[in-house]
Amino acid sequence: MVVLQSSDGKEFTVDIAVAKQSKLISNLIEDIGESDEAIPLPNVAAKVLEKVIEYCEYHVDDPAPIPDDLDEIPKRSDDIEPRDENFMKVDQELLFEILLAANYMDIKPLLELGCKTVANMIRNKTAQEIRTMFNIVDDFSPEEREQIKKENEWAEDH
Amino acid sequence: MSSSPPSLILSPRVLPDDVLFGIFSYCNGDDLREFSQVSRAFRAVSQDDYLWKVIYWRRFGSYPSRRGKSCREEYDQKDKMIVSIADECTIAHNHLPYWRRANDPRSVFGAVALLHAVSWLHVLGALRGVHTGKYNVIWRLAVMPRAQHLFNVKFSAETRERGCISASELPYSASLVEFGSDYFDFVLPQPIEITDPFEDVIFQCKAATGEWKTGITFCSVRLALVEATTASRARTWGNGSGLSSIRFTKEQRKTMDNRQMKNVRSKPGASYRPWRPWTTFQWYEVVSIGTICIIIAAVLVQLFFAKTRK
Repeated sequence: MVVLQSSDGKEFTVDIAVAKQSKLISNLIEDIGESDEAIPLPNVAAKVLEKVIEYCEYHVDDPAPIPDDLDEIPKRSDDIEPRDENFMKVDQELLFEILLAANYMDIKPLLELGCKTVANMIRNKTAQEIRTMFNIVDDFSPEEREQIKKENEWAEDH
Repeated sequence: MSSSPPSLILSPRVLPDDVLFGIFSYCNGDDLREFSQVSRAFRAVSQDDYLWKVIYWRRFGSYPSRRGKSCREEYDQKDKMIVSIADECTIAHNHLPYWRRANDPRSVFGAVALLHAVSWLHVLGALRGVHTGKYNVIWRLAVMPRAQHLFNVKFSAETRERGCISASELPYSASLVEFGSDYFDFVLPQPIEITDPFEDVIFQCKAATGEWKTGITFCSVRLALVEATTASRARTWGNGSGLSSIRFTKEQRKTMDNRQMKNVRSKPGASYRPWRPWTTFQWYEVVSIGTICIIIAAVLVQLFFAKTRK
């Protein structure tokens, strides 16, 4: 058993097999050996860590994550399992928090799932729609905006 | 930014570039072009050439060949949904004296496949990673004056999942020949419909009859969205050849069908001596040669018996 500590001090006790899906934790355990001390995760809040552990517990029996090779990348983003899809039905803020946690803890399948979910959200949207959807500030300078406009005209011509 | 609501999550500050990269890699080129207008962070990531390599691979199932071009340019090239028949298709017996790869500046690819003469005509190719939508399959061809037996050549297009969807022969019209060696667009009668993203469209041109097919130039095959085949779009596509997309109107087709091939054959100023292999004879030729042979045989027999009787 391993104890994980979230940024706000809450402790979670999980099975080693579950925790080892995170490469960060797996490497940590290999380096320092198993201990009863809690592993601090300063970038992950309790609410998010709970979700991440839920995901890891469900996927504990999955085959080892595919190696980081372009040939192995799945081709499409609409092949999400229904259970994973339901798991990802959370509010936007939590979704991005999970993405960040998966990136920080290096849990590849979860990161991919999050990326697919967000990709499905922003696909076929206009720039303005994406900006309002995610509250993004248009930070282009007038010159840059001019250049973008030019590029688009070029694209329409060809 | 601090005045914004707390859902300001996907701002460049919070979501790192590699996560953005992961998200973008599940989108396609059109999306990336749109993303590059959202904000600076989006723009920086969506213009990463490695990202274009990844989406190229996801969509077309192969790596860009990188002939001195960026992956983005290669993607845009592939995205035009057009393939060169001379360079990207499989042609049966693709060597002299049957076929020849000819350079032609009128082709967008600069090269075309020229059919001299062949009895087993088979051209096969594929357009990969087609987006969902309804497309016209357009063959760009030229018919040379000496062309023969073109009208039983079957052009078809299919998707892997649903088999042959659209097939047709060239319209039996003399006017095809009137184009001389200029290119025209032959549009398959039924548009092909793609329902799954990134489907492959396989197209072929086949005629396995005994006749010798001659005199066609194959330039390219392309897919055009059905709404996009309006006159304006079709005209801008050409490579300065001045020849717009040719789709026959009803009246044109009628007059074409009324005219016969032989009338056009006698058009002045061109030599229309048909090329014909020795294997094909007309019935009267066979009959006359047979009669001559029988007469010669009879004379020989007569001579032989006349000699022995003495």
